[in-house]
Amino acid sequence: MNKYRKDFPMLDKDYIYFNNASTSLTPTVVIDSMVDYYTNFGVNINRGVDSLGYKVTEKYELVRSKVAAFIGCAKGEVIFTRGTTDSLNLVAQSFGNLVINDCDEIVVSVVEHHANFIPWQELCNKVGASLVVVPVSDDGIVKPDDLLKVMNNKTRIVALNHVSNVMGGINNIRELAKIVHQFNAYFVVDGAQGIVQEKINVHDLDVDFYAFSGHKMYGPMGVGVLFGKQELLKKMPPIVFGGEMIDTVSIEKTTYKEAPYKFEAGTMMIPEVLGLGVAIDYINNIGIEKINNYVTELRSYLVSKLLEEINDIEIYNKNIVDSNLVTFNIKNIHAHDVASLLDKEKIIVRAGHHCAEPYMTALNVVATVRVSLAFYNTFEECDKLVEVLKKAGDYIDVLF
Amino acid sequence: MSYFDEEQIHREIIMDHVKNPRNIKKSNDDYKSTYLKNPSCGDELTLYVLYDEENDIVKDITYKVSGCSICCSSVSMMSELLIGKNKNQIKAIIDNFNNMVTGSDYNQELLGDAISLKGIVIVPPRIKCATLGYKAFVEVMSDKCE
Repeated sequence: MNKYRKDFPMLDKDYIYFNNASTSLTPTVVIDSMVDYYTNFGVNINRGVDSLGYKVTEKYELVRSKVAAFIGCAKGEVIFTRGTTDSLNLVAQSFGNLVINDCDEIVVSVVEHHANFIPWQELCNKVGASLVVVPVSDDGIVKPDDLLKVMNNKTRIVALNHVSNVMGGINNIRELAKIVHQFNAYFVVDGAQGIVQEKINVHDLDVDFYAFSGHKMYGPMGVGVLFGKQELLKKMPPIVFGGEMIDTVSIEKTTYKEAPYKFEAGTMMIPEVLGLGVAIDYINNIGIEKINNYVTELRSYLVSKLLEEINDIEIYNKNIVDSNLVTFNIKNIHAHDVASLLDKEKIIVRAGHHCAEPYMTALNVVATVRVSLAFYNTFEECDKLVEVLKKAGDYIDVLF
Repeated sequence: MSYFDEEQIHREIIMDHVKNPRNIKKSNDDYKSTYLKNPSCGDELTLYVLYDEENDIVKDITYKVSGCSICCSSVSMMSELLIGKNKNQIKAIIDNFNNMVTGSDYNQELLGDAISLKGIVIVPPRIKCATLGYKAFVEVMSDKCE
């Protein structure tokens, strides 16, 4: 896979980048597509009758079709958002408000990212519903049997991750969806990590909503997607009002466009949407399966090397096979001391609570170090990481 | 003293404060306290200060801290530095510490063991770890918190 490294300008910079679960790097083709927009178009979509605007609108809508093909849904089921957080808040505030009443229950897991936890907690607080937390396995996975135990006829929404950003294990979305629908509840999936881990088909998986971000799939920041089943989007009220999302406006009354347009108020992030389209092409050209086979192999190499060579390492997700990340701590050393030392050696990792404080509490740690891999990472880079950790003494070298 | 001797001494000072934090004890209702954290990393600190207003003297400091080596050692060093000092002396210490970690001129005579953290100036992302204790102290003394 080394031949793709030249596609990423950030990889020239002498850093080893191991924080791909936060943000993946951006290939030149994606950057160029955004420069192309500002250089050759520069105008808004859906407005007026000028030919430039018409062309950009076509390009923007073409990306909607690309996203739909990428995740296996209809074009009208793709809403462009600011990212996964924005997508999940839209579901909670619009759909959640519509279907949740005071005696209802919403199920989340303890390993959710804050973006798939707080919107539901807030909704519960607002309407007086109950937030039910389903336990996870030692590997951070929601087992169908465990979900079954917390489901009942009050459960209206189940919101789970496809892949945990802390543990990296893949939830069996298809099996979980069957259970959710058996109880006539709705299934919201946070796909921020999952979208690059597996080829998905949202209708096959039978999820009601699926949210993801561009910047974790080699696309730009500030753009994301919410997939929602057509019949549900149709019922949902918009939550942001303004230009372009309207049908007619009078002093007495306003009517709105159909979904997905009623959810895209004001000026959208057009260059980022165009960049997302190019990122999808880029992934498709290499092949998502090829990407993940390589990353899984690289990750299992790294895990065995760490276990072999680093004393006092605790890897929290060592039993997971299909993953792109390693979450660990060194005994008696704070995660930030580890990350700071690595940073001194120009190795970028994430350390902290990974926006998953409830799970950190469950693991009984305040923070962990997370190494997350992408297909442009190499075996040599993994060796270098192990070498630096091996040499580390008191982990305060960063000060000297 | 060569750079390497100094480095070795500073390393030992820091690790000594990490392993043997000073002034850990029970507080009582006479202490004023505050709780601060660095949300991005999870450093957490509750700082208790016993200040004698009549005589303008910090009679005691204790704390509960969890976090990285820099945060924990810095709070321990700070407690040693500030106990027994008056407001003016403390202001000078805090100003000098902040100057040290942000790369401005400072008087190292005032900083005691905290001089061992002077390397923070080359790692700006960790300034917030080293200064958490001092921020908490300023907050306690501003009478915002009980």
